[in-house]
Amino acid sequence: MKRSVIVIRGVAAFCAIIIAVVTFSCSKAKGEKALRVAIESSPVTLDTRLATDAYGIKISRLISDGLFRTNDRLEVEPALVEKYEQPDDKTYIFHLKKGVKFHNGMPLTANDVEYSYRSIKDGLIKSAFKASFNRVEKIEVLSPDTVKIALKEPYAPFLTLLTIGIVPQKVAEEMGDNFASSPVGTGPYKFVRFVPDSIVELIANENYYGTVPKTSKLLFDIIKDDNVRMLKLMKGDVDLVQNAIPPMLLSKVLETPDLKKKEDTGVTVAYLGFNLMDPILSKQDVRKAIAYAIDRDSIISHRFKGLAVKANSILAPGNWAYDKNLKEYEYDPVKAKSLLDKAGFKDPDGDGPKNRLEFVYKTSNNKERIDIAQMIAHQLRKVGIGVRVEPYEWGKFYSDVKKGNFQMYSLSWSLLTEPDMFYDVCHSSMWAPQGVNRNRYKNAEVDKLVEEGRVTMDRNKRKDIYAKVQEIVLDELPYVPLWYEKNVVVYRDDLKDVKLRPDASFYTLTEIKKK
Amino acid sequence: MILSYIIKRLLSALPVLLAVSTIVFFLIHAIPGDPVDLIVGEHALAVDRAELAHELHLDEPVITQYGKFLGGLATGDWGKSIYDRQPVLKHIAQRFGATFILAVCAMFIAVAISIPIGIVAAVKKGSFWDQAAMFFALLGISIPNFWLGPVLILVFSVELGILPISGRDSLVSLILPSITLGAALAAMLSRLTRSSMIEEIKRDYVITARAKGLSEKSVIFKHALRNALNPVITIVGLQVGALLAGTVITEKIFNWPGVGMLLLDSISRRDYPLVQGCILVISFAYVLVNTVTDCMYRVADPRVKL
Repeated sequence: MKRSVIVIRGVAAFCAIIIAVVTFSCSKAKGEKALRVAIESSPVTLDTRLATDAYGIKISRLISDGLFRTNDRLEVEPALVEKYEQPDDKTYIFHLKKGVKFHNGMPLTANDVEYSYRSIKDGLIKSAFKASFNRVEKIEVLSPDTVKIALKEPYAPFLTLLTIGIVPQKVAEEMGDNFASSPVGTGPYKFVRFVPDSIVELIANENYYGTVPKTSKLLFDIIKDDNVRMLKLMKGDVDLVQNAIPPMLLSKVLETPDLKKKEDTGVTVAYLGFNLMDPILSKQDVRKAIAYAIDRDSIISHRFKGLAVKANSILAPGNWAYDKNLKEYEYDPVKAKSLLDKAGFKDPDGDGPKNRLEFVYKTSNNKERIDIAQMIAHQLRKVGIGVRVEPYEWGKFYSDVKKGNFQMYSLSWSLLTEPDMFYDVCHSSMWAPQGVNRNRYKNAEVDKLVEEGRVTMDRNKRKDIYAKVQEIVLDELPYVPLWYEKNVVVYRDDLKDVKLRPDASFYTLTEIKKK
Repeated sequence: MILSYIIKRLLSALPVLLAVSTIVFFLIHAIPGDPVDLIVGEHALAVDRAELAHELHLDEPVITQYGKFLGGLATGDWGKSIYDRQPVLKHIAQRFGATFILAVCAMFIAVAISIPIGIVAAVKKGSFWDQAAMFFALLGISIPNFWLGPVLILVFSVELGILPISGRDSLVSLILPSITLGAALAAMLSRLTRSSMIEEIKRDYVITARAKGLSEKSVIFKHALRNALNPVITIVGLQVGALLAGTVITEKIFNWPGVGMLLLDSISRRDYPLVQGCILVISFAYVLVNTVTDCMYRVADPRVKL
């Protein structure tokens, strides 16, 4: 046979193989009534007991309901629990709803509840929630639909922990590590498939014990590029995008006639953190000067296009424990300069180029973060604070922040709904790297208050405690709360009942109807 | 003959793969950042962190970890992803096909465009067609793919609406990412084919062929082109390897779930076994493609001895 014939046949065979492989491997995702939601990153896991990333939590909780869930007022309310009793501050008895079934048809039992929480507590799975479950003394099955949990000591936010979903013991034990890639729960949506970095597909649970979702199929399109996500929404390839269109691109998106937008204040709060071990930033007047020198209105208007609200606490205004009487650090460069004078950092040359003081501002290499850091640095320079912005790859940046290898940095807290977070962020026993008191803050009064806050069961008393904490922390400024990012949802006008929750949860997707 | 050559080449690649994996192993372990943080979070107790570090062998000296890694490789155990505890090979198997198909299609498009352009430019040297071809070749080399991709999307997907913006929903989804990835290679190959053809056309055997009365078509395609293709094949081989390793930007723009994105995510998560696995597979593919390229010389030019 001629060599050229062999080559041509070889090439043809190769092309045929390629076409076959592509055809086989290409997803057939287009569904007739599917609600397509674009998200910006792949969930790390869909096992609700393991998920700590935003999309992992939001999607896994559509699949797996917990004993409780957080409602749109950021309060904890019963989900799989019919009722519960609290014989004393350390003991809870939960009565499960009757007739609830997992997606595979197996009935929900108290054994599943016991197993789900025990698997976290005893380290059967490597969950980030293990430390929180160390507070649990004993989990006991009293009857097929009653479970008792005894704590080592009273812990007011305990029910928040029980929003973690319940998994069927038999399936989870059989599947082991593979459970995360094919989860089963009792939630409003059933898992169909998850192709990392590509798609998550869910279908409505027609036997859901609550309100059955109005859209029969949910497709989460994982689209990492901002521009592509925007174009797919504009072209109609996706129906809805929540909090994943950069503010700078939003006006362009809304030029599309059949797209609508809703916005509301969210719970994600950006903040500037200071290393209180640093000789310069340990001075309270310097930290206050920085707070007064930042023109947050200008940044919110130019960089966020109005899609943020000035913050004065790490708790959002919608939170029940938020203190409405907190003061604001309004932009006041004159005051900032006088505070710097008071702290001993006099202006060496009037309006000249020399700075009063200089330090490094670390941030991640996310473009948006760098832009904001540069804007803040520019504003600080106006009052004589020389700031060198140093962006780092996330792993290195995070490692430096944990080790205290920084002077100033910026980060965000998201999904904060429980004021006990002040214990983690401000208590002196929680200094990083062991806890999240990354700024090495220490105040005996705050320590006492946050300890009291977590063992006080009366909500009104807790509210007073956390109001005091917020007041002290805002005055001492171990960190400067910058702004609350608004939740923004952009969607096609053939969707009905699109809503937003402060925590940007995906529970709202269950109510959407596609015309 | 060819088979024994391929086997010999692949065996000789083992030290290369070993060197690559050694360098990558120590580099990735030297980067600051702790995967334990990412798994158990900042709230974890010291005892739990230590327990997890022990389970993942992260508490052992790096050299011991390296020994275990090599031992695992020798027995076919590539380890599990630190992050989701799924086997490394499963992750790579899910992704490598997508990257391979994209790289091969990009290469096909590049070859299909560049060789005819290069031939025309060489045969019609100095003409309008030559200048136009070389202008577009220059453009192709100069335009970065992070710009070309979005522009192609704007034109073909948004304005004309004839091709999908991204994803892997159908065969046509391959067109734009392949062009984006293959454009620079097409430009480079056009220039190379042109210069190589010009060299060959000048040679004595071409003059002889013409003197013997062979048709121009026969002279160009059967004689000159065959000899001119050797340097082109070398570059194609090297570039397919580079395409396999360099699809990450295109994958991100077109939401193409390939091994490039997997590698990038693994690095940022400090998922050491997965980073190692991705690098090893990419390196092996590189070696394999180069071996196949060497075999292609023989097909293009029977005088070449393997």
